[in-house]
Amino acid sequence: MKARKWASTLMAAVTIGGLGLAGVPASASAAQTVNLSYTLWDPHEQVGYQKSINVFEKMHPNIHVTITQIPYNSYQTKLQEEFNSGTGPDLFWVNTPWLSTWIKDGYMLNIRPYLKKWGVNLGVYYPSLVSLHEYKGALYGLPKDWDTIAFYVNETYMAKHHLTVPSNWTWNPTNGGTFLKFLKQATIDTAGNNAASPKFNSGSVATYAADIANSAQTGFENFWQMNGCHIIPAAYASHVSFNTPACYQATQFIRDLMYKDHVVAPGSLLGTNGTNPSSQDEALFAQGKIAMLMAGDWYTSGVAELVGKKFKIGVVPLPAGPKGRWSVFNGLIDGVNVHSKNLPQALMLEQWLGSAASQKIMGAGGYIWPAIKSLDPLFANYWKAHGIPMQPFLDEAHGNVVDWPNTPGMNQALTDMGSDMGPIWLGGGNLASTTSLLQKAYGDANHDLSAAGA
Amino acid sequence: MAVATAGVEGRLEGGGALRPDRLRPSNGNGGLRAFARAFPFVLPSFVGVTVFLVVPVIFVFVLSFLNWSGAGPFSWAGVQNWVNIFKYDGAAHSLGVTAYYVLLNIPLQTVLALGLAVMLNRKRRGMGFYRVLFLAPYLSTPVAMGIIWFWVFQPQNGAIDHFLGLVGITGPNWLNSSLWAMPVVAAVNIWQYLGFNMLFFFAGLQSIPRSLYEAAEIDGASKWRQFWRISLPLLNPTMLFVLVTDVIGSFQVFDTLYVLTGGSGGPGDSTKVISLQIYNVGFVGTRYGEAAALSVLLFAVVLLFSVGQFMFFRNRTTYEYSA
Repeated sequence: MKARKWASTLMAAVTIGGLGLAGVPASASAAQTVNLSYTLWDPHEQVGYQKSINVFEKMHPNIHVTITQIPYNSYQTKLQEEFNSGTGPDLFWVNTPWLSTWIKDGYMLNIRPYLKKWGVNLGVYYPSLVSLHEYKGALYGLPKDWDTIAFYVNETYMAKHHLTVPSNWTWNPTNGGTFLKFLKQATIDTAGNNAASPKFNSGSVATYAADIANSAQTGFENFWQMNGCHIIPAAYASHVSFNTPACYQATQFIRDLMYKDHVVAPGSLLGTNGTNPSSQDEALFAQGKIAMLMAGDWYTSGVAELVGKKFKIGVVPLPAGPKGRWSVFNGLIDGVNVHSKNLPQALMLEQWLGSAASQKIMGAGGYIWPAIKSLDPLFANYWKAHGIPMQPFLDEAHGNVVDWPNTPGMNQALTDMGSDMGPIWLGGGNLASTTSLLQKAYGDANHDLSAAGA
Repeated sequence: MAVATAGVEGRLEGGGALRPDRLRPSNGNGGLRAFARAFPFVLPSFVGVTVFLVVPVIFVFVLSFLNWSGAGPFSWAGVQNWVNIFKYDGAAHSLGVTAYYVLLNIPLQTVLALGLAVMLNRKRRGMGFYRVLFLAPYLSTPVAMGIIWFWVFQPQNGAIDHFLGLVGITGPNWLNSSLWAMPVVAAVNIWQYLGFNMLFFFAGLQSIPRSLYEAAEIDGASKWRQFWRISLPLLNPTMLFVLVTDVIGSFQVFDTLYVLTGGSGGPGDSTKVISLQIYNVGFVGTRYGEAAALSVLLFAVVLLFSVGQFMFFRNRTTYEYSA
């Protein structure tokens, strides 16, 4: 027994020794390979970024990039905890509502000093995408995509009911304009009556004309802006500014569309507080329960996948409001972790993802609208070939746009606004009650900004 | 034992239990020597408790008087965080909502768990299977269960509304109704923890000597009377444990509620319990000072309830027949 034990120990020692010797060249090689971590939230775009990064890795064989996808709802909190514990990724997607907070908390590297060396011409990008990510002379990332908001349309449903979305539709909070008129025609109850008919049964709607989520970006902020009201007066503002009659009226207009006219899906179908936490809007659209889906262009892959061949998808621009047609405009950058242990390589990846070469891969694959203006046709052409006309998103980008609000504490402010304004999306009410709920949201949002040092 | 008590005048006498009052040192030096000898044995636990409990608790308490965003320096806030949690963070409302949840959860859960334990405390075929079956929800991940129940309670597409629709009833849009959202959350939690609590009551019932029931039967006591006069009083230690841990757990409810309401605390703020508010203020809003103040407030309330429960049960509990 004892002899057997010794033999086993000897064999183990020889094996381990052998492995160690064999591992010498391998570990030396591994030491030269730099592993970069890259974090994002969109699983559809992740596929495209992997393709782009494959090319990057071929150009730099000693750099390996691992992409980690974190769902959007927990992205901000998870990354903040990682930064605070010193385990943050080398490179990471940054969305506008938490941009200022992350700059203020010192997570992100100013890349402006590297632009000259990289030979980057910022003029090729949409100007507002550059200015959105500038603060006090510093630039916190190269723009890589943009998005606007429009309506995806169930063309098959429209054709079946002999409806055509008016090309120049308008809305106003007084009588709803041609927007409301069309929504009434496009909302059909289970007996086949539309909402313009006196026989229409609002308690038994088969298909609502549209949805408008309790979401600043894909919902109410567009209507606020078109009625002359803003969430914040300017980027990095110290206070919010939506306690105005224009905001109250625009919000009441949306509430009436849901609960007075019954032409927009009630917020309760979009999850708690109508905030659409689980993308219920996509499911409602694919199931034919809403005929038009108000959403951003990043929905395209998901919607196309979900709808499949069930019906033909079209896209129409938002209706113009009293102050014209406005869309929320936003774009992402890759932040560089200021504490990255692989800073030179992280900067190389930053440069690559902001470059025309990478954005061509992303645009031509239908993953994003490239932030480089001249590459816009790539994305449009991809989806045109797949039967979805994306031009309305592009037209909006070239029209009136408002940046998604950017100031410290904005993400918490948007969270509180969603909660405070929830009752508006969950039931009918008059202007006084809408005003009162917005005023509560206004107070809470201001506190969020002030507490975050805006 | 000899090593542990060496140098100490008090020894185990007459085979009695070791009691602190019997460990009296002969003089001051003897006490120090005993302490020095005992300390290495206590050290691992002492370090663990200090590092992972005492220090964090003190840190959170101190943090409630500071401004901190999770990064960067701390600054003194005085009592401003405490003012803010009531003025802006809806602390009073959140406490009220939490108390409502506790009220929905605890009585029903306790009564059902006790009833289940009594039913399963029989020598019949298949009882073991049912005990495991009722425990199964507790063995599942709360978040996974939350997601499943979220879909079950969905309007139109959800299973509940579907079955109600078969008998001509339109469901009340459960999770989007201020009236129904919290009862739904409580129901899911009761479902999940019922079997776990049943297990404690079952163990308590098993430890009650049969002779007591036999004597009662000879005296002609009915089963109902036996339950009230024997089972229930002798289950008081179990009841105290179950109630204290359940009340603490209910005040800290988070995971299931977060999943069921999408983390919004909605509809409106009808399910915005204090743990959810701590999460939102701290981790989303990065106002860790205010989140710490909310945490200290929650700690104080839970402490108050726990002390109240201990005081209530103090003169009503015997441990003579405890498992």
